[in-house]
Amino acid sequence: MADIGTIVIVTLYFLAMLGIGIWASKKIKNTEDYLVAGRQLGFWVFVLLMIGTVCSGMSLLGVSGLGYKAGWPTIWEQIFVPLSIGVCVIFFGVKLHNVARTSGYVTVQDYLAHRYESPTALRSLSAVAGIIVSLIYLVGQYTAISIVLIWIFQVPLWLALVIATLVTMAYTAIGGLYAVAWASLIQAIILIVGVLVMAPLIIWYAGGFTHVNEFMATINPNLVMPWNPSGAFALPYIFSFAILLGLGLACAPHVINNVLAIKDVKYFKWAPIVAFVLYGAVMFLLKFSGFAGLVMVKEGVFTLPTVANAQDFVILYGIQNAMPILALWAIFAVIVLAAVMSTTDRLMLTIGAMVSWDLYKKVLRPNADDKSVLLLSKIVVVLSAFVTMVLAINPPEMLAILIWMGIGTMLATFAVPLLAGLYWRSATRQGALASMSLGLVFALVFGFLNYFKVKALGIDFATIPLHFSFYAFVISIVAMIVVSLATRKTSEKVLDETQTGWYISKQ
Amino acid sequence: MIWNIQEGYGSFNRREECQNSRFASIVFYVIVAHLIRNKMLGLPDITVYAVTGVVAIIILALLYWGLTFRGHD
Repeated sequence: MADIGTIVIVTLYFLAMLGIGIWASKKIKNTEDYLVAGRQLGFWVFVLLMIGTVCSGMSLLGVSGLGYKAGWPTIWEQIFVPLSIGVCVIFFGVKLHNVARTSGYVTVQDYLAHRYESPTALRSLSAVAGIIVSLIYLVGQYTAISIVLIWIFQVPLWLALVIATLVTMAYTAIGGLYAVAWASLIQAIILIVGVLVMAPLIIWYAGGFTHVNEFMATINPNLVMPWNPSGAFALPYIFSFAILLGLGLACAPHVINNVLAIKDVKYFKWAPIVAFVLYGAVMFLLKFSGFAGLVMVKEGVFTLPTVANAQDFVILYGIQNAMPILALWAIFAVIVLAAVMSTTDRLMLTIGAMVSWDLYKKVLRPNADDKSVLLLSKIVVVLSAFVTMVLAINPPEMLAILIWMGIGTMLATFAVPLLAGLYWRSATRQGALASMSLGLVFALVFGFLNYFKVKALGIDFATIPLHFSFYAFVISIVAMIVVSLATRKTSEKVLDETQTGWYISKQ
Repeated sequence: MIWNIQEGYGSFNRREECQNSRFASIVFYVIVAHLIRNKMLGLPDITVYAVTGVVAIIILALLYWGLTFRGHD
């Protein structure tokens, strides 16, 4: 078991999150308060909510783990993930927020149903697809939380999962987006300050940045190159990786729904660059910590545990060696928990919104009163937490791969219907249905074939040159274009109401 | 060149500006010298140029967005 100081610090953090949930619950008067925080988020709450939502379990554990395993060719992850916030705000957020002001959207499915004149079919498909991809992504988050709790408390996986589930679920269920946003504010500040202080210490302890790079070059020269000569992280793969992270995260339901909750559109002016610089600095330092961990392992400073996802522990062991002071480990544990929980809570709330608002209120029971919708939202948050907890009992071999699978499925499912809906007046309901359903199905199929290294139809899916989601994304584009051109256009009235056209904002 | 640019800023304290510019130049040259002395931080040139180039382009693009975006109609 961990020392008493660690337990006290982590427990205090958990209590603070619960306190935010209780405080936020007093602000909840109706479903709109619960799901979009009454559209009252200020600049910093919004920016840090976006960072907290995008910054997942992968950001601390997976990023450094991947850096440990594959070196500099993976650095692009640190550029495209922070960029996704800017892509979301600029290409989706401005127009969605503008239309939502008059149409009162609560979720992005409200927009899709309106734009494509499909109040039932597309809304339902979109909600079901959103629930599936959010659950995949959520499993990765709970796995990350468990890694941290096992490391801190030396407890079995099931107990770590139960602790993580109960705490995150509690404040999310009672406080809705108000709780998630304010918890993310605290979590993002802890994350940013913590990483800016602690990551340089790991790098310094490993011998400094230059030494780390020179040592990596002696292990394998490709570890310090910007891309690999072939296979994963070769140039074509990095191109698909840019699309995957930059666009896939930007259109993920749990990220894009945040743009509906801001108080004033002027926050979109500087939010992209502020988020990119802040989050980019954190991501780069985390990757460098993974490099430093590799050097320390090769130099025999420490050894990683003999588990399937050993590389995901590298930053934890790195900090443990660089800062042999118990209280600091505990603070670092809180930093990691903050990063992971800030995404987990938003994902659970998004699933709650899709079930209670999109499926129950808008499809199954249009006459349902606000009270029952609000109650159902809370019940679904609790259920999604428990379902994910069960799914996370057998963690994947590598955290980053599972989380990319979730993002890849989001890219193939949502990017094309959203972009085409916002910018292409010829995009039709049938096109959106075909694009979304084929994108989802092919992303899941290609993801399965790639993950289990299947060889079929003369193709080795383990060594395909692009990320698997890119192929599904292309199928989604083709489906949208072909089907839209062959079917009847959406009415001009709706296209005007939803401000569809080749512009971001009319100024 | 830095001195010429400063001719236009009559409202500022010229001496302080010159000192700031000199300080900035020294910091710049110290960083460059450090990079050269450390063989570009132990990295191949292509890694340094590729990564800093992409980051610089993104920052410039986001700055442009911030300077030109005026909200909704």
